Amino acid sequence: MRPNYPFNCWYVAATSDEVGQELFSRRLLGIHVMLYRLGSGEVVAMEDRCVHRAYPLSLGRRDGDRVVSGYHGMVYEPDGRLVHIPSQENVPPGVRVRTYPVHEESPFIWVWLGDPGAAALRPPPRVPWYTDGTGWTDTTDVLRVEANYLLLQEHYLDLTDVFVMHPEAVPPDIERLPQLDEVEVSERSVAYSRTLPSSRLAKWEAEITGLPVDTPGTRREEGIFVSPALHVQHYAIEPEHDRAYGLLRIQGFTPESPGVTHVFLRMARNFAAEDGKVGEFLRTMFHDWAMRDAGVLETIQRRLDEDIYPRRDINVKADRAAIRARRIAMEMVDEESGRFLLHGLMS
Amino acid sequence: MTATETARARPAYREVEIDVEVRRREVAADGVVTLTLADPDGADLPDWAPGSHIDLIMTPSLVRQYSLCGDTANRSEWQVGVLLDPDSRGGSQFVHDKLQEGSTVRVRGPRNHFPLVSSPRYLFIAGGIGVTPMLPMIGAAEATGAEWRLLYGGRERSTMAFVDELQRHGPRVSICARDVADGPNFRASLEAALSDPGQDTLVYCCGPEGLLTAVEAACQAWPENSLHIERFSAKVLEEPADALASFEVECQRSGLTLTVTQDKTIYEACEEAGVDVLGSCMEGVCGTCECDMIEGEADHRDSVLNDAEKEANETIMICVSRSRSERLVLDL
Repeated sequence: MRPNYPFNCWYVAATSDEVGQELFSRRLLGIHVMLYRLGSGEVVAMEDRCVHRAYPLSLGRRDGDRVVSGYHGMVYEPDGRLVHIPSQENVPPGVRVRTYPVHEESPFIWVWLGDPGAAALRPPPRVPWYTDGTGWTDTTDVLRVEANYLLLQEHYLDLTDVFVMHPEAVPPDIERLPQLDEVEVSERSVAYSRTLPSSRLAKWEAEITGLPVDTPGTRREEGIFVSPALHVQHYAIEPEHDRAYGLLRIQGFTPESPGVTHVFLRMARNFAAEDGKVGEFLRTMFHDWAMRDAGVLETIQRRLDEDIYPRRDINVKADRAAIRARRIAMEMVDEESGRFLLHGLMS
Repeated sequence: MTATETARARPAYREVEIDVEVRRREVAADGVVTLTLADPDGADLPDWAPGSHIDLIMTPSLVRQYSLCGDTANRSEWQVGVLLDPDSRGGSQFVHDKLQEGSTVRVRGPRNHFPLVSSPRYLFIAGGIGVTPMLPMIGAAEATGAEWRLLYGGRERSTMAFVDELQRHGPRVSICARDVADGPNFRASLEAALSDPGQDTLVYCCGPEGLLTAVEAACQAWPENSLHIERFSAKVLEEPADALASFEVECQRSGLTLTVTQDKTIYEACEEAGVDVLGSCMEGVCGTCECDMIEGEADHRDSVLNDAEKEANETIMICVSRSRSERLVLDL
């Protein structure tokens, strides 16, 4: 089956603190990728497979900036070139392990696994609202969810599940989520927004803002499908006569394979920057939230995998952002697989 | 209010619409200006891919489409090339007269009806200002190492934009100007290039109607989906005149023929007649009510199908879409 994710797209490979001097390996878009940091601090992404026998390079060791295979001791430069074979003098010229363009914008390390030339045509996405990070404080979390990445994208593009799945997070005076104000689309992005009527604070909102629970305030909720690899949700609590308290749930979705997705979850806040307790509270709360979501999505994925014939589920109005996002992703897949490649795969 | 009016009242999606500032205005050839557009505060502009275009909204009733011709990697600026059309109905005249450096203009989009599909080989064909979408396509072909050629035809050499930068690519580019006597002839070059269907070659063509028709005819023998064309035509914003107020729907499996009058949707007519239909959003958004079409020409009013799918007329969202033919035959 053809994967439903585009390769010509920047994906999060890891968070900055996951990659250091050690050889780190993660499967991304079906490819085992090894990541490590050079002496200069720069991150290298290389296919995690020795060209001689398919042994993972990440099970070898480093020799300065070079990597030595843990099987026959083949030695590679950071650009992937094979430079030494212990058992023979001659090193076949031009033999190399594939390396991938990397862009680190802490705390995310982005990688381009598609057509190498096309990476320069499209810079890695920027996080909306976050700009250069000024005024925001982040926590990060990495999860592995056994569900297709589009199930995750779709899930976070329609938050009408909160009443059922996360009732404790809903402000107490809100009984029903208002319809989306609008769904704004462009060629490659989908954004939605909605404004919630005034309500007292939910317990978690009081906890992080330090305001009394009976403080009335409206809330503005916006979400963007920035690319198949990035979803950002902005939630602003706007108490009367007070500043707005902004939260960003930034999620990098990187398929490990068609059935598994790595989630790089960042919770950013533009208040209580110095208060580590607020950061930890948010990290824990949204970690638990993500795990609960993952449980549902993994169950759905298992059911989908059991279907003998493809079945069509119905959609509802609230799915409209998700439907458009899926279409954009599928158009990107179609464009890059091309008529000829597609033909080749199908014949 | 009729059912169809209800469905149209609130669009399911709104396209991105922003005010941008003209950062630079450069004369690219006789009668052609290139505008560089940017957010006044320097914010990023939406992502786009080669083949994409934007609407320039000069006044609420004066909206024109222009292909983006800059660099997809530049998130902060867009470029459009605009030809002053002597028969202008106001659009290009407005751009040339009113849009100076520092002016602000409202834009909508981008959207792409001319996407560059991955291929090892491309033949790009441009007539006049139709060269604009080819610039980022050439950029992409170069970056990915695809083979490509460009045949670029125009009346007078001095009116052909971007010739100098294109000629840097050497023999891949044929500039065919009618006023250059010893240069290549456009028609002959086209015939030569299209006479033999290229293996693994995609043809991208943009230009005046005469060129598109000729290229379409010449590509008849090419494998299906080889040819991609972009027409310059004013976008139809009004309801198409040929949409029918009342029409017949034959539900083939059920053996029923219904009349759909102006005050109801196909879905409602089916439901009243007891035809088993499934629908959910009733706004043409969710795709649940999609039906296979057997005969007829639909007036597609949904947000589910893309333009190619609408044109193919193979399926219809019966909660909002109507008919342009007296009779629609559906697999219901």
